[in-house]
Formats: sequence, C-alpha cells, structure tokens
Amino acid sequence: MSLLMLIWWVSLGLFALSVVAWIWLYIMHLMTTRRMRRREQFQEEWMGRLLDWLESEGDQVELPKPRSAEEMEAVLLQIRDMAESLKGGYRTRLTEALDKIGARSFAIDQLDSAWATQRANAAALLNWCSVSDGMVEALEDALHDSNPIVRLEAAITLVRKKRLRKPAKVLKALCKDHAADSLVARDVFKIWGQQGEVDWSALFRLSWPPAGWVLLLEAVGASGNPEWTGLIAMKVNDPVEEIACAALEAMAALGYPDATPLIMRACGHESAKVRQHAALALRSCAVLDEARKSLLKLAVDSNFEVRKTALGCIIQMGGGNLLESRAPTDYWQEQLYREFGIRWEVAS
Amino acid sequence: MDWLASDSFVAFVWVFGIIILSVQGLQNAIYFVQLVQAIPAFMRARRRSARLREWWLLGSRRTPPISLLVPGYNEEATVVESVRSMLTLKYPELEIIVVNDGSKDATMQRLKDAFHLKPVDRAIPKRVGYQEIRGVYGCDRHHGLLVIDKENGGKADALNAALDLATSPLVCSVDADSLLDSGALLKAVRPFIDDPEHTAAVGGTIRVVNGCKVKSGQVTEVRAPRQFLELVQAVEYTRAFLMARMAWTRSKTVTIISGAFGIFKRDSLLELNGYTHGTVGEDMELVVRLHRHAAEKKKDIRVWHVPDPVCWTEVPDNWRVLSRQRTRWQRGLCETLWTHRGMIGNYRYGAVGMVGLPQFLLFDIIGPILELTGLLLVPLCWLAGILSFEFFLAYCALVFAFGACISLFTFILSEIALQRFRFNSDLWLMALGAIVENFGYRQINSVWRAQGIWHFLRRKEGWGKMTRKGFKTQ
Repeated sequence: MSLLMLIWWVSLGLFALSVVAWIWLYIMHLMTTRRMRRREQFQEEWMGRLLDWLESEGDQVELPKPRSAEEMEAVLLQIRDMAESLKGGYRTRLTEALDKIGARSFAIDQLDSAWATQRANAAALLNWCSVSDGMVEALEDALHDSNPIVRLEAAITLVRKKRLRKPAKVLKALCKDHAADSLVARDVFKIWGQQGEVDWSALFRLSWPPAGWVLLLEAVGASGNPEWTGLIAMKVNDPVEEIACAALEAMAALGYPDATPLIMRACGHESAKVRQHAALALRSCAVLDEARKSLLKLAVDSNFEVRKTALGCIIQMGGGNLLESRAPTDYWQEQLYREFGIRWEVAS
Repeated sequence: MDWLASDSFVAFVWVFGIIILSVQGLQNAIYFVQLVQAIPAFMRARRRSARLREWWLLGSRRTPPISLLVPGYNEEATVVESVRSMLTLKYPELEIIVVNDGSKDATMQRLKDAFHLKPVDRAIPKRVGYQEIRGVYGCDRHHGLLVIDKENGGKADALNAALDLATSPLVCSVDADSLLDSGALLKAVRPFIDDPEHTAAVGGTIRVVNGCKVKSGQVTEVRAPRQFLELVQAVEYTRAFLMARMAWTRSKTVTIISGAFGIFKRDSLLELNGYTHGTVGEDMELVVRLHRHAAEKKKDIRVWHVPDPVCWTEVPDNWRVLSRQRTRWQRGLCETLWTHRGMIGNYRYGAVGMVGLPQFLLFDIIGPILELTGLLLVPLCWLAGILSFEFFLAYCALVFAFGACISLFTFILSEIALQRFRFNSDLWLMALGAIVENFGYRQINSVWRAQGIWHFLRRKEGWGKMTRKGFKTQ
C-alpha cells in the first residue's frame, strides 16, 4: 500500500471512529435521560411513602423493599436529600427507614463492588444505618481496601458508630497511601477523642508518620482530659511544623494552665505558623499577666499574621489597656491598631 | 520565478516539510496521549466527588475558609450580578474581596448602590506591591463582602491588593465577569482537604456561558451557543479544560490555572510576593513561579485541575475582540516562557521543566509559526510544480480528521463526566462545532498566535479593550 493510500485509510478510520463514538454518546445520552426520568418516577412514588413514614410511629406505615438496585439508588438519593434538611426525630426516623428498605445489607454487598466509588459510597451509607452484626466486620475489612477514600469512609463510619475496636489498626490503615493527610481524617479522630476513655499512652508509645501524630494529637485534644497534657507536651516543640501546630491546638483545646511555660517556649519556634498557634494556645491556657511578655513579643513579630493573632489574643484576654499605653512602633502595628480600634493617639 | 525551480528551494521545501510533519505528528501523538491520560484523571475526580463529602465540607469546622479575590476594571455591566452570584455560593466560610481597579465607568458606584457599602477600617499591610488604596468598604448585610477601591494598576496589581487584605488560608481568584456554579468551591477545595500539605493550587473548568440561561447569577440551563464564533470557542474550552488540563494533572505538569477561577494557598502567594506586574499572562506566570520556587526549595507540591467545579465566562462574539484576546494570551505565554526560560528542559524542575514547558515552546510558540509558513509554502510549491495535489488533499484530510476526532472524544469525555447538556440539539451543535472549527478557525488562530509573538518581540504592552454584553442578555 502506498503512503498516500495509508494516509487516506487512516483519515477514514479516524472519521469512522468519531462517528461510532458519536453514535455511542448519543445512545448514552438517550439512556441517561431515560434513567433520569425513571429515577424521578421512583422518587415521586417514594416521596409520599417517606412522608407518611416520617409522620407515623413504629411500623404503622409499611415501607416495601425497592424492587431493583436502580430503585434502591433513587430512594437512597431521596433520603439523603431529605436528611439534608431534616433534624432530630425526623432524621432518626429516616435512619429507621433505611433499615426498613434494606439499605444496610445493600451497602454491605456494595462494599465488595469492583468500583471504588461504589465501595466508598457504601461505607458512607452505613454511617446512616443502624449497627448490625455483620456491618462492623465488613467495615473493618474495608480498612484493608486498596483505595484510600474507601478506607477513610470506613474509618469515619466506625468512629461515628462508636465501633472503633482497634484504634491502632485504623490509624495504620489511614497512614497508608496518605489517607491520614486528609482533613476529614482529622475531623474523625476529633470525634473519636470526644467519645470517651482511651489509653492514649499505648498509642503514643508507637511510632507514626507526621500525619499519624497529627491525628492522635487531634483526638487527645478533643478528649478534654488534662491528664494527657504530658503526652502532648512531648510534641509541642517538635521540629515538624504540622506536629507542633497540632500539639499546640490540642493544648489550646485542653486549656491546662501548667502547660504555659512549654507554650511560651514554642513562641520562639522558627515557623510562623507554630508561633501563631502558640499565641492561640496561650490565650486558652494562660492568664494575661503570665503570657503578657510572650504575647507582646509576638505582637511585634516579623510575620504580619502572627502579629495580628497576638494582638487579637491580648485584646480577648482583656489586655486592651495594655496596648493603649503603647504607641505603635511601626507601620504594621499602626495598621493593626487601626483595625482593632485601639485608640493609641489618645494614650500617646 | 526561476528560483522556484532551483534545487535549493526544493531542498528547503523538503527539509521544512519534514520538520512541519514531524512537529505536527508529535503534537497529534501528544494529544492522543493526553486523551488517554485524561481518562484515569477523570475517574479519580469522580471518586472524589461523592455527595456525602460535600455534606461534610459544609458542616465541618475543618473546611478551610476561602477568600475570593475579584478584580474588576470597567465592569459596570456585570459586576453586581457577579457579586450577587458569589454571595449565593455554597461554602461555610467565605470572604469576598472585590477590587475596583480605578475603573473609569460606574463600577464603584454600582457596587455602592447595590450593597449599601460603608467605609471600614482594615489593616493594609502592604506585603506585596500594588497601587494606592483609596478606600476599603464593607457591607452590613453581607459581612463577608469587602470592596477595595484603588488606583488603576492592572489585574495583577488588583489581585495583589486583594491578596494582601485577605484573611483566609486559601484564596480564589475569580474574574468579575464570570459566574461560579453554586457548589464550585466545595468541589474545587477537595484536593486541599485530601492532601492539605502538598496541594499548592487548584484550578476549575471554565465553560462558555454564551447561549446558556442565567437566572439570579446562576446558570439554570446549559445550552450550546448558537453563533459560529461562540460555538467554536465552546469546543475549544472543552478541549483545553477537560482534556489537556486533566492530562497535565495526571503527569504533574499543570502550569496554567485560569485567572478566572483558581484556588491557591495564601501564604504561598505571599511568599512569592504575589502576582507579577507588567505581564498579561499573570495567571500562568504565577503557577510556573510556584513550581520554580518549590523545585528550588526542594518542596513537593501538587497543582490540580478538577473538572467538575465550573466557572462560566462570557466569550467574545466578534472577531476583532477575539483576536485581541488571543494575541494577548499568546503574548502572556511568551512573556512567561521568556521569564522562566531557565526552567525549559532543565531536569532540576522535574516534569514541568522537562515536559510541560517544552511542550508550550514547541506547540504553542514554534508550532503556529511553522504552520503558517507551511500554509504560505503551499501556493509556492504549487507554482514550482513540486506539490502533489493528491498528497496535499490526503494530508489535509488526515489533519482535519484527527482534529475532529480529538475534539469529539474530549466532548464525549466531558459529557460522561459532567452530563451537562439536556437537549439533543446541543449535542449536535457541539459536534458540528468540533468539525467545522478545523476549517478556517484553527488557521486564523495560528495567525493570532503569530501576531501575539510579534507583539511580544516588539514589547507591546496593555490589555486592549474587551467589551461585555452582560449576563442578563444571555
């Protein structure tokens, strides 16, 4: 075949490929439109049932099980939409509706799906269902999933359902593939910390990557128990910025006054972010007389944000008078005095 | 005309022809690779977009606050509608900083009237360079809204002023003539949630609003533009944002985040001294500088393009304005590549230096010049009798078939991922646009690009006039 013919054939092939792809898209578009219509029909059908269910008690109203996976997905979407705008007793009732229509077993089955998106959604859906025997095991298995989002969703559900039996295992699962880096993971560990008594010292004895330490510090801070201040103290002056910040945040959350000297030392950290967190921690843990020197030093820091935070802290701690007696020393301070409404002209 | 038949001319034509064919062949191969690379990037983006995540984002204390930076110059036609649209965005903690960059029209007055603005005291730290601020205004009804009135200094200058006054850890630059989908920020912020340490910047998809129905600052019905010029631009935007940038995300070479919609870490921008003055491609320059800084400091950063947060923009509906816009874009590209020429082909800068920037140089700077020279050579070769008409025709067919194929596949990908068009007629129109843009429009684009290079070489400055119809007329 000559080069010329080859070029023509390739052009023709590309053209044919485009036409086939186009026809495929067109069919897909038609199918999607039909699917959307079917979904709307299902949702219309179920709207009345769900409203009756919400207004009733116990099993007064019968909720049938959806006939197909498609119907189940449509109903689940509708329940999510309703849950978004409902609270209290109605939301509890919606959870009961999920159990009634078999959403839990549907989600447990979906945890074995080949599609990561479906597995992640299934793990998240279980968060809305009530706890059953097989559910916790299925979620614990999902902690070994190859996809970090699925592992994270499984951890969220286990924590929210108060079924976190092996914290170290969960933490290890999240530290793999950077799932622990997610801010969602930090939120989850905070919730876990609030849930009650955990022997944090056992977890602190193990070795973790920075993201793992951040999660642990977040949880300990949320525990609200000053008994653990000693554990956090070890990390306040950590050279890793994110660990030091998390430790200071935890300190601020516990608000234990004995931690003040340690926090004051962190005010000299080389990272501006850490110094900023130190100012905030001082606001929570210390009294103004004790923290005054450190905060005033931070109020003339080389970083504008640190200065702003420190000034804000001084004012919140009742030290406005302290600032009024000191005229601003440079342009930044003058600007900040103006923003905070400090009438330094009068004082000077 | 004897020289046409000379051996040296024939040899020149052959060498030049081979160069053009090689560059075009390489470009097409890269387009194909990009298309393949875009698919897994789309899948990943879809996995991230679970609706339950959005619930978490809306209610969580952890969702990082965002400051929207909205520079505006002579935007009286659209500014109020745009700000209203921004106020309806679904996001837990949002600060909107609108900058009136010394407009000569009634932009500031419109803002004052519409939002009952009052002067407020805000610290002006001047950490980055910008023209003098005349006043800062706040709004009692919308506490997150701040308006800066300043002397004219250009877009980068206005963005710097907003950046300096922003208080949130993330800043998002938005053009005053653009509309954001109500959930756009929630979607765009996901990479910052999943990997807050390494994510340095995120860009969203820009789509063409011409032809769509807009109500209360939101696009209520997505339609394909009805005019030829707007239609081919809609195809172009789809190809650029949903193929090239998704592929760059995959290969870690995203070097452009559109100034119309991009989220950055505020501290990183301040560390880089904000946006650069005196360039018309400040958005690309910033991202390239971000990569450069990270490589020099040996920091591991990621710049993402996320497909589903959509920002709607009005594209020019006449040739003159479009040509001005395109030559300006090309000039911006040249300026950025020239400023950071040390990165091109330099292994120290990783994939950006070895793949991303060389691609721009080859396909967006050298490519259009070669293409135009090739087009000029065709009639000369014809006169010299060395052009095989059959070969020329076959070659054109190949180039057009490949172009149409790539555009169609990108559009298919975007429809699968975003499912935006409701009407079949819009699908047909977009398909038509993907085919007809190959006949004339792409060649004219090359002329504008060459013109942009010429302007760069002549050190031409300024933005040129951009006229807007306003969203209400859509």
